[in-house]
Amino acid sequence: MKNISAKPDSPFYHKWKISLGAKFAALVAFILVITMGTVATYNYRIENSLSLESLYSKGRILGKFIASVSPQPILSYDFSTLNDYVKKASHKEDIIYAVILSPDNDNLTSYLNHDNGYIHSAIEKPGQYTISDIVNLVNQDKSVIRMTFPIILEDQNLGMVEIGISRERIDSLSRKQLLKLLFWNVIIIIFLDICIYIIFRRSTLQPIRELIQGSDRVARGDLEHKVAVGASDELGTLTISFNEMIGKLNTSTREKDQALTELQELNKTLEFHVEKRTQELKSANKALKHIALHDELTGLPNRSLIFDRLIQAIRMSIRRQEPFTIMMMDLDRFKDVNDTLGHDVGDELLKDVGTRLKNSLRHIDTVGRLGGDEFAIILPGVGEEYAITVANKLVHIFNEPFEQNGISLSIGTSIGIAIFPQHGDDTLTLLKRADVAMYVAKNDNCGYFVYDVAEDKHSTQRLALMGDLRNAIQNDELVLHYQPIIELSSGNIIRAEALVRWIHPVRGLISPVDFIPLMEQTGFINMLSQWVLNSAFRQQELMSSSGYKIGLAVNLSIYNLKDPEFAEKLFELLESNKKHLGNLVLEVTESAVMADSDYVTNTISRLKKMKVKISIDDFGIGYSSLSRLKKLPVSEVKIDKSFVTGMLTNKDDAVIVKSTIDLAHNLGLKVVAEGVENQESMDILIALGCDMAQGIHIAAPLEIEQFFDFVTKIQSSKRKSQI
Amino acid sequence: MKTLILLLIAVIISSLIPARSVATDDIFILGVFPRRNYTTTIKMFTPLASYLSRKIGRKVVVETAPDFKTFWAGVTSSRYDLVHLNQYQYVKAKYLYGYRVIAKNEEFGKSTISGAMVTRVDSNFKSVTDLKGKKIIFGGGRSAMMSYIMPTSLLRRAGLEKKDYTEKFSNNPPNAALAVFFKQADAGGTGNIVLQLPVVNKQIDTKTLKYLAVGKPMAHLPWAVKKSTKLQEQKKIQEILTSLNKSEEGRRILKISKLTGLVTATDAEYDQHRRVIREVLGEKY
Repeated sequence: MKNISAKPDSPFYHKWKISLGAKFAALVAFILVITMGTVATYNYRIENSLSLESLYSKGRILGKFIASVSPQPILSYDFSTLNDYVKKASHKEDIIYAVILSPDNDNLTSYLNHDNGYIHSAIEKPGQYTISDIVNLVNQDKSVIRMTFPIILEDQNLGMVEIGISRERIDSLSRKQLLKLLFWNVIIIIFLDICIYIIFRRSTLQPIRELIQGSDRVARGDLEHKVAVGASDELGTLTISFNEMIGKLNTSTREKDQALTELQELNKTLEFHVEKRTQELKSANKALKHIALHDELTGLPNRSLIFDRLIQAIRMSIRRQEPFTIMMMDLDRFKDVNDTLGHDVGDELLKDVGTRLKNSLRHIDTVGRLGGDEFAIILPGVGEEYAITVANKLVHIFNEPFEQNGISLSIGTSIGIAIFPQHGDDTLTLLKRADVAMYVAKNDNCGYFVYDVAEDKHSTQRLALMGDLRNAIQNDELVLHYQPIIELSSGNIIRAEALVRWIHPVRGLISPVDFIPLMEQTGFINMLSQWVLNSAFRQQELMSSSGYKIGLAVNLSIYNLKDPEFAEKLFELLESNKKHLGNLVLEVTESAVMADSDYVTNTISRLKKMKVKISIDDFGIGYSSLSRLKKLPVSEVKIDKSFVTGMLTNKDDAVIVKSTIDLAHNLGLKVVAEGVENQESMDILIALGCDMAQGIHIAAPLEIEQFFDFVTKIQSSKRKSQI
Repeated sequence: MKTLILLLIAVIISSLIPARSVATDDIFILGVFPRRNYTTTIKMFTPLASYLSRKIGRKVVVETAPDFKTFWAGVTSSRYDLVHLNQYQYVKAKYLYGYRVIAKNEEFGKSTISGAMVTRVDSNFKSVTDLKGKKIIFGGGRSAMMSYIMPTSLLRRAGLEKKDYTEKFSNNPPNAALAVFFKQADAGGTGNIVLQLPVVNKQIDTKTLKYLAVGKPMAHLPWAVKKSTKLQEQKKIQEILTSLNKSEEGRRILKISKLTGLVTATDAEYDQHRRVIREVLGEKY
């Protein structure tokens, strides 16, 4: 059997909620109905039985009477009289018919009361009916009682009287009586039920209701009011117990409330701390999120966010059926700024660049920093034409120098442009092609370049070179060429600058300009520098053994000086070639020497102690600090060839050359002028007091054999001129 | 004292004797033979008595008797000034006491009546001779002209003697017909109007009965005055009776009396009856 719960939270509780009073009234009504219904039924049966008996009695009296008066008419054939008898009998109440039959069952009377319903119904049926037929039809009705009485005179059977009696009136009367009885029973039941309910309500329900109200008050938290004790019965006892319970509960609740108040105070404090900590965590999380997606230095979107924005831009462009532009740009000569003025200046410069870029673009555009001096710009809804306009604008904003620590820094930019979808339909392709375009722009020094598939092969070649570089040294594809450096005062070849060349098995001779930056980017520069030094020392050995007292200049990259591992290897190598150290000049760029790095400074100092001369290469194009230059343990400076080449036509360049020579000499440094392409330049340099010169006017970089030939030739002519 | 008591008793007894049983010169007594029961008879003829009283200026009372014997006693004592009786009784009263017929009944528009033998339709009787050995019931005693003498005459004329059938008697002609209907007799001796009587055709389906034989028409029931009645008075009464159907009141009285009229009758019209009586009862009047 299914257990139907009537808990307050059960749906049955509300659906079947019946008050106690209603239940009691229903129970009382049920009992009264059963009791009075039983009594009524019993009375009905008794009365019906009595009525039936009276009906039988009536039939018996009538039948016996007719039977007693019929012999005379029968014997005298007085059928009219007999007929009168049955006629009078037939009009008695409840009597349907009365007939007198002969001993042979022949009718002796013919009267039937056609007004009687039974008779009327019988004769209404189709067909010809005798009196006997009609009587038989009437007798078929279950409500008809058939009674017969013999007519006997002196033991002689004269026939019989048959009477048909209807129970209909009695039954109808009984039914009416029953209905009447039921009606009054219902009235009595209702009356009694109401009376009992009222008594029950006053004596029982009212105290219970007061208890319920008391419970409700308790439920609402009112523990002060007590329920009035009405009677000294069980309910009274229950009320007293209830009041005692409320009293105890009140005390307990007060204690609990006090504890709760304290707990709430503690909770508030805890909530405050939690809220505070949560806010801190939110802020930290927000900061972390910002850090995760933004460049810490510039505050611009970082690589991750740029990629994300790029994906969004692709989706939006597809949805709107419009192009967008991705630009990649880096800063020209930023490396020099970083190397010469230090990272602090470089960082500030990057910030300024970011600000300028941001201020120059629409708010819907994205400018982010990919790393180093590389920036990316996403221009939603922008095609090639407008992209070029933007690129021009960006190039233009770099014309204005950046002021950093009182120094006016002029830097340029190279911008690569790729358009979605014509140059690619995914992030990597678009970035790669923007990078290719940027590379072209940088190589061509044209400011910006829109990706062109024709230029992409250079990029491919560059990538291929990067792969081939790994094997170039092992495959002995690298060679050293030597460019003579002469002493202007004597014209003697005092040194040769070792310049590496890559003879690619497929592509032939490859310029250092094309692969040195790749090596620097890929980290192969350390390996290359070691190879150059080893090769240079071997050539030095060869030249010494051949009787040539000529020094060697070897270029070192800033990456070499910054790499402690390389520095250790360098010192090991120099240690093992001590005898040649006096003739060795290591050329480092101005930016590398000027780099505000203790490590670089220490390294140069250690080299100086080992009697290795240090020359500042490409001097003049960077941002050398005179005070720092003074402190550095360098031996000479090498004026950049752009100044030397231009000094014949550009006064500024001439001034710079002269100033550099003067400055170096004032600092006790030797000066080498590179890029000497003609005698006129040579003459000027001599006039300016320059110490050494290098250039194609003297000799282009030569293979070792050619170099030996050149040295031999020079020395021979020298000897001839002395002679 | 004894005398006083006897006198008181005599007064009481005399007060209990009906007035109409005391023949006086002022009261005209109309005697009606017990063809029907007492009450019915009084009800039927009281209006006629009233009418007659008004016409002759004398008080007229109706008297009847519960049976023929009592009634006949009134006849023999010449108690009735005007008497309505059956044909046999009239013939006998004329012969013995000098009663004179002045009128006769007209019932159902006929002033004659015939004796008849009634049987059930479903019986196989084709003639009176088929009734030999059967049970025949007669509607009255042997003095009943219409219900015994005349039907018996039919039997005799068919050659059936008394021993050839079983005689039974009912108290009146309708019961004879009812007895046949209720199969209590094979045939009923009665008049030829019995089936027309309401007392019969309202009780039973008369289509189930038939007249097996009907005698010759004979003068209907007579009305006669006693011998002492003066001729002028006789004529006046005869005039009053026979002219009833000429007035609205008279027709109403006739209807109550279950008659369609009263017509003048002569004693000669009853000679036919005398012959039949002699033939059946062997009595000569």
